[in-house]
Amino acid sequence: MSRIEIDGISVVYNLLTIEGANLKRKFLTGLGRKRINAPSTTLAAIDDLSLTLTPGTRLGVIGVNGAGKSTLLRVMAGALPPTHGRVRLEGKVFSLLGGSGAGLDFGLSGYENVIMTGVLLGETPKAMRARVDEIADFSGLGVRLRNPVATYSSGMRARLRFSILTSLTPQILVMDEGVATADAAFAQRAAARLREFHNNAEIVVMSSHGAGIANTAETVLWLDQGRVRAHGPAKEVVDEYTAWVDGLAGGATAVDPAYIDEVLDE
Amino acid sequence: MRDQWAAARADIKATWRERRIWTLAALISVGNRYRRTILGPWWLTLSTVFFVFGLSFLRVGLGGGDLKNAVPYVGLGFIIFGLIAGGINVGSSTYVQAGAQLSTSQRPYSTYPMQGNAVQFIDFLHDAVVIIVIALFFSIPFTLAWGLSVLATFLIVASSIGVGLWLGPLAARFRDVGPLVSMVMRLMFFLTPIFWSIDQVTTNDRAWLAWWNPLTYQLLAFRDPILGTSHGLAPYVVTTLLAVGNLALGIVVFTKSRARIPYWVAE
Repeated sequence: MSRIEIDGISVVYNLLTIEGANLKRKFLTGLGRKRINAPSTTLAAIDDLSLTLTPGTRLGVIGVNGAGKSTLLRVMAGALPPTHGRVRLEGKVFSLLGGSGAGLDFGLSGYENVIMTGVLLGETPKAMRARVDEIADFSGLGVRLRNPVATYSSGMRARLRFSILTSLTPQILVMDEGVATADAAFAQRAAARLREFHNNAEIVVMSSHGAGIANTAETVLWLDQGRVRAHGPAKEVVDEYTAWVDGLAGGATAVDPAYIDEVLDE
Repeated sequence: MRDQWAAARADIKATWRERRIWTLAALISVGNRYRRTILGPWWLTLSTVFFVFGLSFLRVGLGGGDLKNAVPYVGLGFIIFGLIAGGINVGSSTYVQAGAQLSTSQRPYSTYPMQGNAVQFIDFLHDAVVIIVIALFFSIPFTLAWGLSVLATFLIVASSIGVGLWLGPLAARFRDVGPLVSMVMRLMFFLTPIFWSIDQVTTNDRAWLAWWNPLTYQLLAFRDPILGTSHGLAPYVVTTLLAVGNLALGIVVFTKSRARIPYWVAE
């Protein structure tokens, strides 16, 4: 049985400013140049958040840029220790996060990439070798798997990557939306496979800043400045979020202007 | 406090469990460096041969003697210094280079110094071929004493892993440490008896400089047994102390700083 238990976590980043990081500027500031910023400021990307996820969870995390989505996913994946609070993970976690090294190595052949990507994500080389034929087939790459990835078209690369990632069977899946994507020609087959990939996992957590998340997630957590703004049935939370975003953009009149002021003051 | 130790222990255990992953990644990264070259990683071997001969001519030109003695002396020194210095340099850059990957991938943090040192060791194995060739060519006998050199090699690698565990986080936190280390290491090439003899300086007042340098002991512990020379027990004692000391310091610093490392290297 898999489980993610997060108890009162905060993630505080130190934001280094140019003045603080650069010795020359530090001295020049000392010599009477005007100081523009404080040497260092902090930012709570996640601010005292608690959450327990059990099997069957299909959670979407939404919020505007900088709301703390990626940070929360990193913590849930066990890749980033929070500055405060505790995280308990049970089960085989599998994370597809931006910059996770799940990218392809262009110098290696497609075949070697199948092995290496799987291995870096926690599979054994043997288990990956067993999947090679299926991946060659699904990606449509066939014998081209023997050539270096550098010789592939960008569509082929995307198909290979997608096929490798979705061939895996995680217990807990934590992913940034858009990390596993496929080109349009491939999209229909890909959608079915992505659904299957999700269905195989006990717990799925996805981040998104769009409303499309309601199609895949059952519950949605709305993050705003590192805090939970809403957490509940996907459609409700997404509707509320969409209305709020439209309001911020000044596009919709359905939102009370006083509400926007209140939000912006926060 | 207890949490920190438990987390660090779990981290190091996971690295041990995943030893096949990082050795494979190390092998691939060595291969990648020479991709599409005809010689592949044997470029490393060739450039070592090239450099060793060059340095040997320099040694003979400066201090007399003949190539028959100079080549094994310089060759062994140069090759082991590559492992020693490489281990320290990779230790200081390991987390800085891992960068954002650290907080997005689930690989344990102690994996990074291990993988870096694995790369250094693979490089060393390519150089070790040169040692065998030199031994055959200059008829240096293969004796049981070579076992001491092998032991010294492992002690040097152990020391480098320790260095990676303490210097790595330090260099991630204080970015001036990296450039400082590479500056010092460049000078160390000349302060370590690679192509000059430490026995020649014992008589003048700069001898302390060579003996004060810990890398000297590591180098001698490796080179002496193969050449059949000796500088007493000191090289082995110091090399062992360096391994134990660096590992101990490494574990303490790594444990204390582990949870902060991803914050220091975040984009």
